[in-house]
Amino acid sequence: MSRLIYRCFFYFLGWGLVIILTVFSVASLPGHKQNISPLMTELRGVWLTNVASGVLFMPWALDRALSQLSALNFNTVYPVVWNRGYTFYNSAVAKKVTGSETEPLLSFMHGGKDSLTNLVKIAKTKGLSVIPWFEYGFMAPANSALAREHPTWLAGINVIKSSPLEEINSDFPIQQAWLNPLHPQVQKFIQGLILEVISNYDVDGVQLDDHFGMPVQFGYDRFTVQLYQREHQGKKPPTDPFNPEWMHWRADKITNFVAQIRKSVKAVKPQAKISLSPNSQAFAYKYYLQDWETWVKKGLLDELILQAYRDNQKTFISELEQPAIELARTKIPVAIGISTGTFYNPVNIAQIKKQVQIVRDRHFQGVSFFYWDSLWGYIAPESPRQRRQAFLKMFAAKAIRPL
Amino acid sequence: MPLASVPTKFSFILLWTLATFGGFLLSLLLIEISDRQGINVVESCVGGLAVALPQSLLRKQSTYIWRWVLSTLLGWGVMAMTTGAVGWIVPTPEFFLPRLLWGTTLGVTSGFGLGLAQWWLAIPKSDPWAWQWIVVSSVSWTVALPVGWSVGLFLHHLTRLYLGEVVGLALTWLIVSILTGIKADKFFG
Repeated sequence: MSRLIYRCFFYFLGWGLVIILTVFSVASLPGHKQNISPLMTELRGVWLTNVASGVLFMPWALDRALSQLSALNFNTVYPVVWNRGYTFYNSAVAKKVTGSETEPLLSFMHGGKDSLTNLVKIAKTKGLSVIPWFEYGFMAPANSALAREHPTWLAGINVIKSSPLEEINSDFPIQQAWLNPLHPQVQKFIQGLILEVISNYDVDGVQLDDHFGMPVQFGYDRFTVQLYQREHQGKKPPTDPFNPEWMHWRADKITNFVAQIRKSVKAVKPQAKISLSPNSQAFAYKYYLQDWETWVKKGLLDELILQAYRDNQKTFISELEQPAIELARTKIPVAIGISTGTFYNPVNIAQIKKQVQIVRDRHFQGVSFFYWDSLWGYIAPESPRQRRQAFLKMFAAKAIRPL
Repeated sequence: MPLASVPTKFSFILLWTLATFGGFLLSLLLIEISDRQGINVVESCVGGLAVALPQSLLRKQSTYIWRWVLSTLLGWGVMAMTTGAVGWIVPTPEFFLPRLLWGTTLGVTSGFGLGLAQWWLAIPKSDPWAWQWIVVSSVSWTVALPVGWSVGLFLHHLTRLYLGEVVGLALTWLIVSILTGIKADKFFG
């Protein structure tokens, strides 16, 4: 008799498992009929980050996220692959330079398997383009292996008081080391990472962001000063970091490096896109020597996504109307990065809808949202279901990304 | 009551609370907290299963293990079709008084329904006081639901995060765990 009971019990457990699997595959997807209408062209992207987010770490989370994004007619994901001195894929280049093949927790959670391979595989089956995002650019924590083992590569240490939005949950001052973008070994390392991603994965391109520059106060390290002196008949760099010629000289070096990256990427995969998600040109150039307007003019970029993370609608609109953006729109697809909120600054769905409409009214090529967890996670003001319904209304039919 | 039974009873309440509350936390990996329309029967049953399985491990008589799971599933399944799966839903009202009233009403009916299903299928009728389980369940949910939903609303308003509502529901489950745990050992022996 007791054997019978146990059999019943385990039968029941099995049944429970079936239910769970059913929930995973069905309940997480919105029950909405696709509109059958001609495909429109619109970039609908989202950034997947490792900070304050479990999406890249939990084995089941990625599949669920990409399924939902696909069902809600998104077409692009920008997964982080370079953050805080670690790669988020198995990297031989990083292993050689930092001693770590990949971010340790990520490696542990995936049992040593390459998570980017998994992400690309799932995304492709869901019809999503993948553009790996080199979020940290030349930044690395001051205590990271990269910064500690290669002190001569550094342009300086920056104490960031008001952290960038991408840092999400760090409101306290943090020490960031900044790799010198002018240093040939730094360039070799960063370019090596980018080429590794382009060569080893079926990705649609790579994305650089606002950290792909150098804080204007830097450039007084030994290497940069010597380089400047070599090119200026022994003259020392101006003491004023905002000296126009000095700024121009450093920014040009970074531009040249971007040109070098583009050339090497295109040599490996001609159709791969070089995407950039910067701040406004004025800010990017003045404070980070990132002269992306020149990058656009020189044809170094294939896609631009302006970070317009503003709550105030007037400010948001003024960001979209900057001359550099107008110029970029005549050359390449330009989309707008919209904040869907963070833990400390939740954004309501009404604001998101309004901003998407503003972007559409001005005929931009699409939008990308920062970031996955605040699209319809618990850190949003509305329930996940309400948020998904709102996104489905905004993106009622599939759209293809701009070429 | 012998003195030795005091720590035993306390241990049971602690284990029961861990099992119930832990089961709820586990269910959050499977179910998304939502409004009433967002939780269907299957999801409600999955939630019930996540809570009932660890609880059932505390039953000494194996005969009642699967009965406990089945009765809990039945309770949550019926609830999802009638009052709503109150353990995983957030009510629509954005004001405290309606939430308190709504929480009390749903708490008493849901607690009664769940307790009735469990009494019917999983509590030995040899105990003349078995019906008390229905009262315990009703009282627990009647107290816990309005409190949890109100705290959830407060936290939601305070932080502007829906997470506040989730924390409120977690509080509901914690209160239910403790209150039912006080009596559960009597029927789980």
